[in-house]
Amino acid sequence: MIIPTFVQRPIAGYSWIVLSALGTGFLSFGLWVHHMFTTGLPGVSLGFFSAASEAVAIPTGIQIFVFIATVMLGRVQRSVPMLFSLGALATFIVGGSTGVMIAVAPFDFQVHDTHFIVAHLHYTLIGGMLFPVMAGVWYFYPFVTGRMLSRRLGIWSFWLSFIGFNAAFLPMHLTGLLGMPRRVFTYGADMGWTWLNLWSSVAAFVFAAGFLLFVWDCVRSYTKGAPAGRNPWRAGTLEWMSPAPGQVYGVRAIPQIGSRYPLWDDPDLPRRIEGGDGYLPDAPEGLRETLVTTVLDAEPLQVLRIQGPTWVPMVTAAGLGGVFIFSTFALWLPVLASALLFMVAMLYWLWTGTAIIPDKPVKEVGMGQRLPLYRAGPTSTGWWAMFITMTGDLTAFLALIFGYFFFWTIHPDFPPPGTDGPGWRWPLVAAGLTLVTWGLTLGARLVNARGHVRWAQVCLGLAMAGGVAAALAQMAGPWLAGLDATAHSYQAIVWALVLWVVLHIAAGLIMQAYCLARSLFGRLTPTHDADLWNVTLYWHFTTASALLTAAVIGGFGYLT
Amino acid sequence: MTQTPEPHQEPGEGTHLGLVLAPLVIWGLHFLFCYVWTAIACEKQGRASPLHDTQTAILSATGVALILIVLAVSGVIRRYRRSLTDNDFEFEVNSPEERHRFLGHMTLMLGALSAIGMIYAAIPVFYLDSCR
Repeated sequence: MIIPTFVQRPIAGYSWIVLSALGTGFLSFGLWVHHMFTTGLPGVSLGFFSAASEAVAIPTGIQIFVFIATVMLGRVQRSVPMLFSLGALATFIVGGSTGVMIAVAPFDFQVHDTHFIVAHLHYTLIGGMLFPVMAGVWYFYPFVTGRMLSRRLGIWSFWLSFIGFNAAFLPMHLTGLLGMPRRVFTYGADMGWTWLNLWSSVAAFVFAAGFLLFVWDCVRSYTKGAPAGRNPWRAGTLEWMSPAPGQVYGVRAIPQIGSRYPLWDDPDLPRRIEGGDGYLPDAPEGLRETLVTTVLDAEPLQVLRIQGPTWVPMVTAAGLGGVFIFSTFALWLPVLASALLFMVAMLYWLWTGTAIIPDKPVKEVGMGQRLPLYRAGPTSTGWWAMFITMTGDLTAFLALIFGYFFFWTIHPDFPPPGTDGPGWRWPLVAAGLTLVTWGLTLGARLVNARGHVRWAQVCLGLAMAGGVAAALAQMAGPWLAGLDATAHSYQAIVWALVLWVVLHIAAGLIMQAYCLARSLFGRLTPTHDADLWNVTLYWHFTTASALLTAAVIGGFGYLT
Repeated sequence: MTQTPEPHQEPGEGTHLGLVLAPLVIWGLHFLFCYVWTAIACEKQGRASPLHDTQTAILSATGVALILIVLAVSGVIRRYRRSLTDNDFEFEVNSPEERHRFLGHMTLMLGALSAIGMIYAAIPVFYLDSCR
C-alpha cells in the first residue's frame, strides 16, 4: 500500500502478491521444526522441514521482486515512509538470504545457538516487522491524528536506526561464525570477539537513538505537527477519502467501488460521498450500522447493527487477561475473580449488544436497495466467527491428540505396562451422552424454527442435563482407574484430553443456558435464532472432539 | 493470444473459494502424511533400520498428491484457459467473469507452488538410507 502510493502507480503483478501471501501463509505451517534442527529428530524428518523452509523462499522472493518491480516502473517520490519501506526490503533480503542458508540442516548444526542465528533472526524481524511498522506508523499518522510527523526528524530517525541496526547486527554474522554462543554476557578476552562486540554495542546505541527520535516525534507531533489536510500522500486507496478528524462521522456513505485504487481512478468520488451518494448515507435511527456483503462479488447482503462506543469489551478483555496473567504467577484467588469478571462482562456484552431483534425486518439502504437487518445461520457474521474460532480450537485439540500419538511412538509400550487405562466402558458412556446432548441441542434449533418454542426450551434444559452427565462420564473413566496426571506421560495426556473436553462441555452448558434464557425472555424467537445456530455449531465441534477423545483413550489401547 | 469465449457468470455463483485453496490443502496433507509416516516408522522400527518402506510410501503419496493437484487445476484450465504467464492487466475490468478468471489463475499458480513444495519435501528421503 505504501509502495504504490509513493510511486503513484498500481502494484505490479497483483496476482503474484496474492500468490505469495497465500503461499507463505500455508507453507509456514511446515517449517516450525527449523527452530529445532538439533533436538535429535530423525534426519528424514529434518529433511521435510528443511524442504518446506526452502520452499517458502519462493513466494517470499516473488513478493520482494514484485515490490522492486513496482518501484522500478513508477516514479519514486522521496518520503519518509518510502525510506523505511526500502530500508525494510534491503534488511529483509539479508535476513532471507541467511535464512536460505540455515534452512539447510547441516549448516544449521554448525551455527546453531551462535550469534549467526542472532544476526539472522534480527534481520528478519527488524526488516520484516519493525521497519515496516515504522513505515506504517509514519504513513497512517496523518490519517489517525490529522497531523504530519516532522520530515526532518523522520529522515534522521531512519538513517540513525538503519545505520545503527546494520552496524550492530551485520558483525554478528562474523562473531557467530567465530563461535560466539548466544545468551552469554561474559567471555574470555582471548576468544577474538572483543572488538566486534564493542562495535556492535556502540552501534546498538545509535539504533536506539534513532528509535527514540521516532517515538519523540510521534509524541511531539500529536499536538505540534503540521495539519495534514485531506489525503496528504495523494494515495489511491479508499481510507484516504474520509474527511480530516473533527467530523462526527467516519464515512458519510458507503460507495460502490470498481477498482483497486478508487481515488486515482475516480477523483470526484470523495465529493460524491460527502454528498451522501452511496449506501447508508444517513442514520435516521441514530444507530451504528455497516454493510455485510458476499465474499467474491461484494454484493450487499445485510445491514449489520453494531454496538456504539462502550467499555464492556475492554472490561471483558481485562478479565480474560487477568485469568492468564494471574495464573502465570499461580495467584488462584485473583484468577477466580478475573474469571468471574470475564464471565459477567461477556454475558452482559452478548445480552445487550448482539443478535438484537430489530424494530423492522428490512431497511432502505439507498441506491434503491432494501436489505434485512437480521440474519441467522451460515449467512450471518456470527456463525462464521464461531466457525473460524472453532476451527482454530479444533487445531489445538488435534495437537493434543497428536501429543498422545507422539508419546505412543516414543514409548516401546504405550499405555505403559502395569497401568490400567480408563477402559472402554466409561468413554463409551461419555460418547453416548455427548451424542444425546448434541442431538437435543440440534433438536432445540429445529423445533424452535418450526415455532414450538416450549419444546425447544425443554430440549435445551434436557441437553444441559445431558451435558453435565457427559462431562461426569468423561471424568469417571480416568478417575475410577486412578490415573495420576503427574505419574507418567500416558496418564498426563489422558487427563489433558479429558479436561479439554470437559471444559468445552462446560462452556457449551453456559451457551445452552444463555439460549434458554434468551428464549424465556423473548430475545430468541423462531424467526430470530442466531444464538441457537451459533451454539449448535459450537456443539458440532465439541461433540466431534468428545467422540474422538473417547475413541482414543477408550479404544486405541485395545488396538496395540 | 486469442480470447476464448468464457461462460457467463452471475454474481455469487461459480468457482468455490475452497477450490482455490485446494492445492495448498493437498500440500498440507502430503506434508503431514510424510511427517507422520516417518515419525512412526523411525521410532517403531529403530533409527538404524533401512528406509525402503518409507521411500515407497513417500513416493506413492507424492504421486497421488500430484495427481490430485493436476485434477484440481485441470478443471480450472479447461474452463478459463489460464496460463501461468497471464497478463495481470486482464484482471482489472471488474466484472463477475473477471473475478472468476482471476480465481482460476490463482488456483493454477498455487497448484504450481504446491507441486514444487511437495517435490522438495520428497527429495531428501532418497538421499538417506536410514533414519539417523
